[in-house]
Amino acid sequence: MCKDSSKQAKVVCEARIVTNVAVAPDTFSLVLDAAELAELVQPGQFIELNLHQPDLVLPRPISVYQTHAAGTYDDGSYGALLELRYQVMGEGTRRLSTMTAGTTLGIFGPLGIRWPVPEEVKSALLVGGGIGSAPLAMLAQELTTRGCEVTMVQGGRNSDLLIAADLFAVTCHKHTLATDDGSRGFEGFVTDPLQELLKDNKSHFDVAYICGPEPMQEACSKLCEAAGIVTYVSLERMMACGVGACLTCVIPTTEGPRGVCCHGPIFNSKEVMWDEARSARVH
Amino acid sequence: MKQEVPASTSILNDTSAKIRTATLLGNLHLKNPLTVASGTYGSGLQMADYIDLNNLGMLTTKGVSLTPWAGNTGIRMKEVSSGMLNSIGLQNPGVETFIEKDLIWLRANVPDLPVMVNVCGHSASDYASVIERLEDESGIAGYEVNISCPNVSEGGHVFGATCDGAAEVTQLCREKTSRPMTVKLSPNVSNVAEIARAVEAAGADSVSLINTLLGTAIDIRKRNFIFERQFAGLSGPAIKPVALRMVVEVARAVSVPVIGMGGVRSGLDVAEFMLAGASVVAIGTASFGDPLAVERIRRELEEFCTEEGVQDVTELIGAVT
Ligand SMILES: Cc1cc2nc3c(=O)[nH]c(=O)nc-3n(C[C@H](O)[C@H](O)[C@H](O)COP(=O)(O)OP(=O)(O)OC[C@H]3O[C@@H](n4cnc5c(N)ncnc54)[C@H](O)[C@@H]3O)c2cc1C
Ligand SMILES: Cc1cc2nc3c(=O)[nH]c(=O)nc-3n(C[C@H](O)[C@H](O)[C@H](O)COP(=O)(O)O)c2cc1C
Ligand code: FES
Repeated sequence: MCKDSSKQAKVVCEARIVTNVAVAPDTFSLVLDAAELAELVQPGQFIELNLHQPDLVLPRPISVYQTHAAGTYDDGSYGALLELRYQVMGEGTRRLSTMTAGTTLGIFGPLGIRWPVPEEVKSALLVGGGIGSAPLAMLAQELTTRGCEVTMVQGGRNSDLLIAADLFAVTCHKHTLATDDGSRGFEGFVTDPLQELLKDNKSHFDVAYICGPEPMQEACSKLCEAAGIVTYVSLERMMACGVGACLTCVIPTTEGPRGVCCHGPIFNSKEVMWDEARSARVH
Repeated sequence: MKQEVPASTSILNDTSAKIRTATLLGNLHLKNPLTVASGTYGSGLQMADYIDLNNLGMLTTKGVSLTPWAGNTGIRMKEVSSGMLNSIGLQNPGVETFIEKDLIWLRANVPDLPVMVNVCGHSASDYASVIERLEDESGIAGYEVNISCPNVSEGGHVFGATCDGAAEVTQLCREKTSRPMTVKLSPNVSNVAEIARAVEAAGADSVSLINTLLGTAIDIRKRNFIFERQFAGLSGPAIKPVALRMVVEVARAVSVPVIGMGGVRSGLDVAEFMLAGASVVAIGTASFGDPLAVERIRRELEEFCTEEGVQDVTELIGAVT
């Protein structure tokens, strides 16, 4: 599927769990001792996790939430670390959630492309839904470091599920929250505060980045596109290989069929053929 | 069943191990008995960031058809206990793109690696046309004719299900090439040995098996099938005992070499397939969880041979009693 072998170096290794702790209901922070991979990974990329469970033949794709520079972490001293945020969805993530520090997982990556950032970016809009906020964290940090003004609109089912809201509150210049039950921020979906934002600032944002459930990404990207903003989304599909070899994860785009694992997971929203892609949605 | 490997191929042996791993597939010299299962390794180049492809005995590509095939719509994969169901539908960009992109890359980057091109078609003449087109191209060691894909309506399994259909495709392809040609058999038949004999008689130089087993999965809450085509192909360790039994049946029925596959995930599994009668063993689903699986499996096979006092892996072929 992906024709040109990428220029980025890849790592396959065994990685020890440094910590694996609940940070919200059914939501965990997994820190892995994987210096080589941590040094390569770019915002928006993911890795495959082989849980070493004989009956689960496939690895689990999880985005990188953050990397931590070499030094001390949680009372130990390490090389660079990789941090993921995952939610318990099925058997694999359930078993993962019971694994303790010292357990080894097979990992490989970095996989997929990174969030594209325009050269002259001055103001960026980030929209995250549920666990989909996690893959935006590194991007928010990078943009802020580059002097870009970052606005984050973050949604979740309730206040507990506003993933990494503390990090975004500190990193982003503007941080707007929405919860389905109104327990924090706007009551309702992220589309409501998003519409507000876009109404006041027609051409304010140079670029928008969206990650979350696919219906939310579709709705939000249409709003951003209508406001004339270049918009990127990060999609999920069932994956087997994660590297462009098996064609499990293909979606239809205006550029032809594309592998979510290798051409994506990040796509310009205008290229995604949402209707045709619907039948293979994971949720 | 056991084949003689000429002494001249011994230089191909991995010098780090004392075990002779070189094997023959008909007249193809392979430096070890391992290949990858079609469709699980792309055309090799997708894996090249992870693994040195030269460590493979042979590379087997994804199915290549005459014109581009879009593959199936809807969900394409579901993991099941110790296996997975797939419904890819032989998506591929067609033979011209395969030559321009993949074959050229393979020629330039791994000129010494034997490349087996897996061929598919909607009609018997489609298969032959793909081979005809590839005949002028260098860098191809042979063809694997896939008459056993369960995930397409035309072609694929339709031919592999009967002796006549299997023989027809084999013969048409045979007329187009003198390169080594293997025919990939379906496990979704009641008598696989009969089909193997038919393709041997029609000119196959070897046979490979098994393709995926037909299975299905149902969404019990929505009360519909997971896959748009309802049925899909089961692979992975769940199918290994069935694959092994069929390799035994086929190895007993034909005198051409057998490429065995189905759920292999360790060097011990490879030894088991070789004892069952396989000259070459393919690794498929196991590569998904670990892109380095083939290398690990080769090491494990060598370790097994060392433990068992086997000096030459070909001693294992068909040695089950
Ligand atoms: C590029 C990418 C990045 C992701 N990043 C994150 C993340 O940062 N945090 C997080 O919590 N989740 C993330 N996911 C979703 C995560 O991969 C699934 O929730 C997880 O694989 C479920 O595994 P399971 O064994 O618990 O579920 P099961 O349903 O038992 O899994 C069965 C099979 O389906 C696959 N599968 C199930 N759900 C999904 C899904 N949503 N997407 C892809 N494959 C799926 C599994 O990998 C496995 O092969 C990401 C998915 C993709 C494709
Ligand atoms: C995702 C996937 C794609 C496949 N595509 C092809 C194909 O294009 N041609 C083919 O002959 N077999 C194809 N197969 C079948 C495999 O080559 C192999 O016969 C089967 O998976 C059993 O081996 P395994 O259990 O080691 O995976 C495919 C299998 C999988 C899992
Ligand atoms: S091509 Fe295998 S998961 Fe994307």
